[in-house]
Formats: sequence, structure tokens, C-alpha cells
Amino acid sequence: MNILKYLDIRSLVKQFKTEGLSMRRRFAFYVFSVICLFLAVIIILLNLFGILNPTDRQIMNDLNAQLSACSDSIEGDCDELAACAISFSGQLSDAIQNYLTENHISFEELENNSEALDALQNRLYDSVYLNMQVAPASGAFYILDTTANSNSDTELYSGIYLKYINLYSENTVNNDFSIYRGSFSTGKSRGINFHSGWKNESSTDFFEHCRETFSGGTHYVLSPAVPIPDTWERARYIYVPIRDYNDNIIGVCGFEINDLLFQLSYKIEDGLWGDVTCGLLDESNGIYSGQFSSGRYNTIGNGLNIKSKRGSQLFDFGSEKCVGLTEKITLGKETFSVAVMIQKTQYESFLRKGQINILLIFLIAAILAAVCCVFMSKKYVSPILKKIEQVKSKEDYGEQLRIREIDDLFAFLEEKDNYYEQQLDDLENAKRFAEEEAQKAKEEYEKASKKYELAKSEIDRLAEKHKEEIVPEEYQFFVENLSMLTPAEYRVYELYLSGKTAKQIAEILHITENTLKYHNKNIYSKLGISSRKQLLRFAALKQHRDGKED
Amino acid sequence: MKKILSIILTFAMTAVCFSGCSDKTKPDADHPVTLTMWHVYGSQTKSPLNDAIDQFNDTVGRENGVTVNVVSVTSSSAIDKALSASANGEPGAEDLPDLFTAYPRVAEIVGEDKLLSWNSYFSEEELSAFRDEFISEGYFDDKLLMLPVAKSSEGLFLNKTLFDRFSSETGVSTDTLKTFDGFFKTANLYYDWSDGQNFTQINDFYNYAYIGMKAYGGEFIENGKLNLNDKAFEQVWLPLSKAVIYGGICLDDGYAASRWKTVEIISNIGSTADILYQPEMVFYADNTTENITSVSLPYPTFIEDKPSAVHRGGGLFAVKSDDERKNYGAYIFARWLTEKENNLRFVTSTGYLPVTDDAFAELFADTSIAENESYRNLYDMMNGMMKSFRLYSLPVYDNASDVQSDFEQNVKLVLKSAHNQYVERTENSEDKEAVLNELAASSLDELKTLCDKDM
Repeated sequence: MNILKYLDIRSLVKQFKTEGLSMRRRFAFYVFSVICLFLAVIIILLNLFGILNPTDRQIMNDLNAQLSACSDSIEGDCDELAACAISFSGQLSDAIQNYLTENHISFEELENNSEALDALQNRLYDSVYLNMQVAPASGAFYILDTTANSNSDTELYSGIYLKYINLYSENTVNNDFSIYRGSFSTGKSRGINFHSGWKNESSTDFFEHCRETFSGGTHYVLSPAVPIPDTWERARYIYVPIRDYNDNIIGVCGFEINDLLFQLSYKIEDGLWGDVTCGLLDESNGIYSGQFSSGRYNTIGNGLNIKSKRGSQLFDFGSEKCVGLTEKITLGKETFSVAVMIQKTQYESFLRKGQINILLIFLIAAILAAVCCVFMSKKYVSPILKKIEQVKSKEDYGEQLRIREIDDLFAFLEEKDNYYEQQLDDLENAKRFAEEEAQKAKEEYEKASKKYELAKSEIDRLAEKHKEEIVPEEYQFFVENLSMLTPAEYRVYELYLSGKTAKQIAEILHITENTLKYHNKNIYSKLGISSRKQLLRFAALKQHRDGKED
Repeated sequence: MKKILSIILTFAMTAVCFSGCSDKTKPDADHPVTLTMWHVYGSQTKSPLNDAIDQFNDTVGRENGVTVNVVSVTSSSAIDKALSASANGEPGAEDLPDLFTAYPRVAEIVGEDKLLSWNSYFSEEELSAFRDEFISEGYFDDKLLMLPVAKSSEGLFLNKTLFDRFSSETGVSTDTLKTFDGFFKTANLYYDWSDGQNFTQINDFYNYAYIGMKAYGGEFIENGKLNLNDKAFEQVWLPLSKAVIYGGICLDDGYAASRWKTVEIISNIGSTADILYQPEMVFYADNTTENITSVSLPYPTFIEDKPSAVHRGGGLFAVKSDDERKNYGAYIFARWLTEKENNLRFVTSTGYLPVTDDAFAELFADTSIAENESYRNLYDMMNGMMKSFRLYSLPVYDNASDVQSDFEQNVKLVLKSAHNQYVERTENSEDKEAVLNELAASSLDELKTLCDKDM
């Protein structure tokens, strides 16, 4: 509002309506409008072709590269673990067979034989420990399809499960470890720390699953991420069967990849797009779960929904959403999805930033255009304005602008100007002449007035003089009989009084001289006079007296 | 025209400034930061700090664009090693985490200049809410590098089920465990009764010596060095060494909780936070199991009317980042974790003490807020200790970490050898008492020699 107030749009509009726009403003406005229109068209076209905001494409390109790297890395690590697991299985198989042969017992005879199972564990322990050290895993285990206590309420399996503790690096060498599953004597005899959730036998149910899976010739199995019983951890297991010499499956062995190791192994350094998270996902009925390179998503990552959206995927964790890409990979015989993602809010922030940058570019372009318009309008219009100022100040029209239309206009204006100047001169001459004439007339008038005054005083003097010469009875007769004249005679009488000659009277009244003489004779007889001179003297006296009476 | 142009230019310049210079000192939902963290507040079965962090990430963290990513839950000694490896750039070591919990001694390992000074972020008012004895430990000169988030003291944990069995046959009661004298006698008695089983494990001989010497008027650490030639140390050493040499006390490395589980010991002296690791079931060599109950008892005293103990538990450190948003994010997390409600919830599920005055008062006004009976028992015990015990914090000096771990190793080395000699010589019918006294005295000399070498 303040800006609008400052701009005072209303007054500008009012000024525009009442006074119009100056040529420079008008020119600048038109050019600026054209540039803005041009920019708008460019924006629309760039937007249509998806070039306008390349951030989304850049993010997806980078995520795609990360996805490929993560997929390759996960696939490679799984292959390595699987190879270790197969080798581990071979070692265990041989060791078990040797033990059974040396002790002349069959595998079935191990059941409920805690002494033999302890002895077997002691023999297999080194293999478990060494394979855990070699493999990129957070733990190693084997379980056999037998138990020291078949009467237990739950189905139990004998075996050893060692786990690293205090894991803080992808590099697990020299990390402390604990026995998570295994007989008391196995742990005790080696002084190994017992895991807080330690039990002597496993009750895991993936053994049955394993038996089914491996009957089909599968080389290894990568399990979904599952909670590790009696701990706060979750892990995947990569496992292979342990077979006897008759190719019967007598157990499974493998490695644990807990969430923490996954995090440490596949963490993606903060890059251009902030925190990128990698995940290895399992799908079940359209719902995903799995392991992620960020501990945050390992906590909330169960029950994940993935929706495709314009070349990318929306990862809906419920309380949080991410945007990224997925790729299917086959590990063992199962299909998994590898995902890389960034937080949706962050993604949208990057997009917004990109859009703002583009807008800023266009804004800067528009400002530059406005500056150019002002400059151009000044350059283009100022000679014209200067010329107008010259014309206003009545200076010479000066040299030509070399703008044909404008030069023609000024030539035309100059011609008109010359014409009007001539007209003005003529008028001024005429005015001067008229003024001189008026002066003369005034002087003549003054002279005539003087003469008139002189004549009048002379008449008065003469009238006074002749008054004494006139016979009063004759004059009285004249005055009394004046009304006896006919209209025609009176008209003639008046014309005489106005100083007209007989000829002029005849012409005025369109009468002949004889008619005039006839009228004269009647006038003389009626008025008792004998000549025109007497007539005029009596008439002048009467006028003089009438004037005095008035 | 000029007016309009100047307005447009001003507007554009402002827009450019705003677009390029968004507030880069604080994180927000659009510009989040992730802070990696190593911590020690968790066992293998339970990690209350992880739960607290999940809650933070879901609430305040999300609002402020801060995610704390726990990369390692480990022990304090392991974290020292890992920090050292990271700080020294050892091959295979991870980068230093953004946040970690450790003892003050790690400041020297990591380098004080690399650590964030909390008092640059916390206001005076916020800092005044912390308990003085806890927060003072975190100051390095005028910089608060270690923020207390949970503190503990030391206590005696006892497998009550098995002790009662022992007690019913020997007449020894838990009252005898109030003093170290009674504690050592009981250990030896149990050793005899159990046919050679250790009664207990003392997690930190260093703390034992430190408190013992304080009780006898000495100083265990003088001028940044162990003061083993003080008469007070002999008073502290001899009863301990005799009990260990006799066999009542376990000297093996490793966690007491493991030995509880396999009934190798039935008690231990350690951090009150050890309650997190206490098993509810023990396993015997014949693969049978037994449910147990355990109790928490006060730290035994050296002199009955001068009870004292260390208060322990490290604090929260943050590694200074060039990205100021990370530093501020660390502050947001630390502030949240030390707020009364959050701090109480966290500490009462780990056996720690809260770090602010009001949380402290609330806990000890009603210990029933602890999550279960054994925790309530622990806090009742700690309440008693808080009232009657004098609590000392361990001194920080050059190489304190190495000196402490070397001392632990040397004690175990010397006493293990002495114990083996004792067993061997008593099997050869030598006088038990004489051998015990002789080995206790010689072990002291050996320890002094070993520790002198290390220094």
C-alpha cells in the first residue's frame, strides 16, 4: 500500500487523462511495453518447453546419478556378502561333517545333546568370528536345524550369532563384539561380552523360509529388514544354506546388516541438494519398508507409500514426505527397490529458489529494458524537444535533424511562420495607417468643430443683428402661416433649410424645376415672403428661437 | 519517470538481496540441516535417547528444519577412541560427528578450538536454569563446551534374588554393604560361599581411589598427576587389593551386565545409569534361567560420617561447523533436550539425573514419575544420596583420559597377577593372611612403579 501510495498511481492516471503523456514517456512506455511483451512470450515459450526452470531436471539428473551409484554399490556389497556367505557355509559344512565323523554321531543325534552341541559350537566359533571380521557386515551367524532342548515351548535352533557393538564406522575391523546367540560355555570360555539380549539358542523363523527358498536352487537370500529380537535394532540378513554331504540342508549361515551399518555404508555426503538419503526397499502389497542411509527414515520408514509423479516419485512416510527416484534390482532371487530421495520441503524450496532466480533474471532484464527505454527515448526525442524549444524561443530553425518527417514538419512550420509574419506586418501597417487616418480625422474634426463654433457664434451674432433688420409683422405672418404649407411644400421648405440648391431639391424629390417653381410660388405667397434669401433668414431666426425655447 | 525507475530499481535490488541472502544462520523447514550424533545413552536392548531424538525430529526438529541422525550408540571409552581416530584422521575413521556425548576429557582429544561454545547460543537466563555443579564441569576457561544433558552418580547394584539366598545362609545383610569395609568382607564371604565366584565388579577403580582419598583427606590427583605416594592412597588401596587378591572382586574387562546375566557376579559398583543394563533374567551354565530382582544401594562409604561419591556422566558436545545453520541447529536440539519435561522423560528412563534445578526438584519431589519399580527404587536411593552425600566431579587435566585408562589397566594387571600368586601360594599351604598382606603391599609398590612409568 505504501508503495502504491508512493507511486501515486491515481495522480499519474489523472495527469495522463487531463494532460496526456509527454512524448518521451509515451515513447519509453511503448518500447518498454513491447519489450515486456517480448519477455512474456519468451517466458511462456520457455515454460512450454520446460526450459524455464531447470532445477527440477538438475535435481532429478543428480538423483539419478546417485541412484545408479547406490544401486551398484548395494549390488556389489550383496554379491560380496553372498560370496562370503557361500564360503562361510562351505567351511561350516566341512567342519560339521568332520566333527560328526570324528565323534561317530549323525546330525540327528545332536538333538538334545547339549554337550555335543557345545563342543560343535566351540569348533565352529572361529569360523563365525573370522567370517564376521572379513565380511562387510554387522554380525555373523549360523543356526542348525537342531536344538539342545526340543521340549521347549518355542522351537529353538542351536547356533552362534556374533554381533558388533559400538559400531561407529563402516570399517568394522577391531570393533568390540558380543555373543548374541550361542551357548553359555561358548561365550564364557572365550571371555566374550554377552549381548544384553543374549540367549543360548535362536527362535528365529527364517529357517523354514530358508528351506523352501533354497530348494529351488537359489544361491542366497536377502531378507527384508526386520527388528532384531530383544534389541532396539533392525537388520537384514543375507544367508545361505549349510548342506551335508548328501546335499540336505542342515542349517543356514550368513550375515547381519543392521540399520546402523547400512547408514554408515551408504551415506551420501551433503551435496548441492542437501541431504540425499538412499534406501533399499522391500515391497509388500504396495506398501514399502526397508533400510535407509538416514537413521530418521529407519525409524519412520515402515509403511511407506510411493507414488509416481511426473518423472519422479513421492515417498510418503506419513509424518514426512520425500521426492526422489527408485530403481528395481534383483538380489538373490528377490526384487528390491533402491531409492534416493530428498525431503519434499527442501525439494520445493530448491524449485522455488530456481523460479525466483529465473524471475529475477527477467526482472533484471525488464529493468535494463526500462533503463534502455529511458536512454533511447532521451536520445531519440530530445533533438525534437530541443528543436521545439528553439521554435518556442523564436530562434532560428537551425540545421536539419535529418529525420525526414520532422524536417518536413519544421519546414512547413517555417513557411507558415513566414506567411503569418508577413500577414502580421501588413496588418500592423494597416493599423498604423488607420491610426494616422484617425488622427487626421480627429484633427479635421477638431478644426471643423472650431469652425462650427465660430460659424455658430457668427450666426448668433448675425441673428441678433438681423433680428433688428426683420420686420416683426412679416416674421409673425411667416411663423403663423408655416402650417399652411402642404406636405410637399413643407418638404421643399426643409430641403431649402438644409442648404440644398434648387437643382439638388428637384433631384431629391424627383420633380421638375417647374414643379419646384410652382411649389416655391405657393410657399412664398403663403408665407408672405418674396425671396429664398428672406425665406432662409426667417427660417434661421425661427430655428434659433426654437432652439432657445428648448 | 525517474521516480518510478528509482522505485523499480530499489525493489529489484531488494529482491536480488533477498533471493541471494536468505537467513543463513538458522535452519528452517525449507533449508533443513541434519546433525550426525554419537552418544552413549543406550544399551543394546534399549536406547531412550534415540526415542527422545525421534520425538525431537517429529516435533521441534521438523518445525525448525533440524534432524538429528544417530550414527552410533556406543560406550564412553569407545567414543573416546572413535573421536580420537576421527580427530587424527586415522585411516577408516569417520568424520567427526556434529554432536556427541562424552566426558570433558575429550575436549583435549578433539581440540577445544573445534568445539562449539554453547554459551554463544544459550542466553544467560537459559544457562542459569542448570544446576551449578553440573554446568560448571562443562566450562573450559570461559567457553561452555560440554553441556550437561544427564548426570549420574555411582551406586551399588545388587542381584537381590541371589543375594537373599546367600544372605539366608550366611546372615549377611545389605546393611553391611553401606561401607567399603563391609562390602569387601561380604565379597570375600560370597567368594567362599559360592565356591570361587566373584561377588562384584567395580567399574572404575579410578573413581574409587579418587573418592577414597578425598574421604581420608588426600588428593588423588595433584598437579595433573596421580598422587599414589600419599598415605591416604595406601588406606584406600589395601582393603581393595586384599578383596581382589582374595577373589571377591572381578578384574576382567567387559560389561558388568554381561556377568550379571551369566551369574559371574551378583553386584557391581558403577554409574546409576547401569540400571539400563540390568537384566531381569539370569542364565546358568546348564542352560537354565532364573528371573531376578535387583536393588540399587548407595555408594559404599569409606568413613561412615563422610559419605561421598563422584557425580559422573559426560555432556553434549557439538563440533563447530562452518555452516552456521548446523551450529544453531545443535543449539535448538540441546535446548529442547534440556527443557524440563523432555529432560525428565529422558533421564528417568535411563537412570540419570536431570540437569536443571526445576527438573531436579520435580523428580525428587515425586520419584513415582520414574517408569518402573526398579527405577523408582533407584531414584529414592539417589534422593537419599543427594541429601547426605558430598558429590565430587572428576578433575580435568592434560592426558586425563589416558591417565585414567592406564590406571584402570595397571590396577587390573597388578591385582590379577597378585590374585594368581595368592591362589598358587595358598594352594601350597602358605598362610593365607600373610600372603594376602604381603601381596597387597607388593601390589601397591608395583602399581606405583607402573604408573610412574606411564607418567
